[in-house]
Amino acid sequence: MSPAPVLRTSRRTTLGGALAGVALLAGCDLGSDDPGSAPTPAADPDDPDTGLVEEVVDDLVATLAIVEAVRHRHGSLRRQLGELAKVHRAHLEALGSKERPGRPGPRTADADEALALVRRREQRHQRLLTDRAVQAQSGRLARLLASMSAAVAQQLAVLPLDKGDR
Amino acid sequence: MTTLGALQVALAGEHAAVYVYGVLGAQTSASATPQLFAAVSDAYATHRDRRDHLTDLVLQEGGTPVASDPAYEIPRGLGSASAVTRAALGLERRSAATYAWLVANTVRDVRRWAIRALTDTAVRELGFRGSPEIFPGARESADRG
Repeated sequence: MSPAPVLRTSRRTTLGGALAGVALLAGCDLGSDDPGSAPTPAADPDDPDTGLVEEVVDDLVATLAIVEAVRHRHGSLRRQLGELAKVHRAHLEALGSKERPGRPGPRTADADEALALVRRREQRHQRLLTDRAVQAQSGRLARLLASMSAAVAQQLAVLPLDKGDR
Repeated sequence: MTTLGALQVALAGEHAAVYVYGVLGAQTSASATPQLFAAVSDAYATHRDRRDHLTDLVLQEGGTPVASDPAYEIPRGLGSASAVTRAALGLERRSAATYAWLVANTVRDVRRWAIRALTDTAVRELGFRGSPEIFPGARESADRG
């Protein structure tokens, strides 16, 4: 997997920039009649999706913090969860944000339990992405969030099974 | 683009997918490659269902569903299981791009359905030896390195 283009912006100052990034990444504009059409960059500082993007970023940061906490505590999961963490970081960048300290992660000593926790968190995150994609006023943003949701679904499909799934 | 126009584009894509999956099914053996046969059969059924649903949606929007073409271009060299797998993966990737685009061009319930189709397609890619992506359906923008 290749990384997404980097948007060098901080979270609170960049919603206009973030949505410009959405335009660049999503590569699709309402009014386009070609599914493979070229990107149409456009940013609106008064975008009605600003709050929605912030909510997604907050959830993404919290989800990534849990994944990283489990990775560091459970060496057996480090490699497998590494790809998941990479996807989340790329998604953060696409939304014009960066990783920042989240709440302390779970302290469970059992790797299976930790994996089950990650799975539940990712499922919750995926539902949020889907719901916000439906709600987004911007078609470009909706496309990006839907794609992010699909990426999480792919990662869930390749996560190792925990005891509850066996 | 209007919702109706977007639905027609997606419907045209599903006509092509159903046709090509029919050909891929004919190239796949239930006894020699049972997993691939099952995956292709399941994909065929899924795309057929989506085609029918898109047809209904076009009618609900007051349109006349776009008809399928008499034939579609078939990938060359389908004589092996790996070639069929590659062709199926290519179909699913194009389908993902189409549904991501449909998401951008629709709202509410139709958009939610398009997201489900995109997600299903993205996961189905993995069954045809695809790798997880950072932005399924939006690769042309995000996954170029």
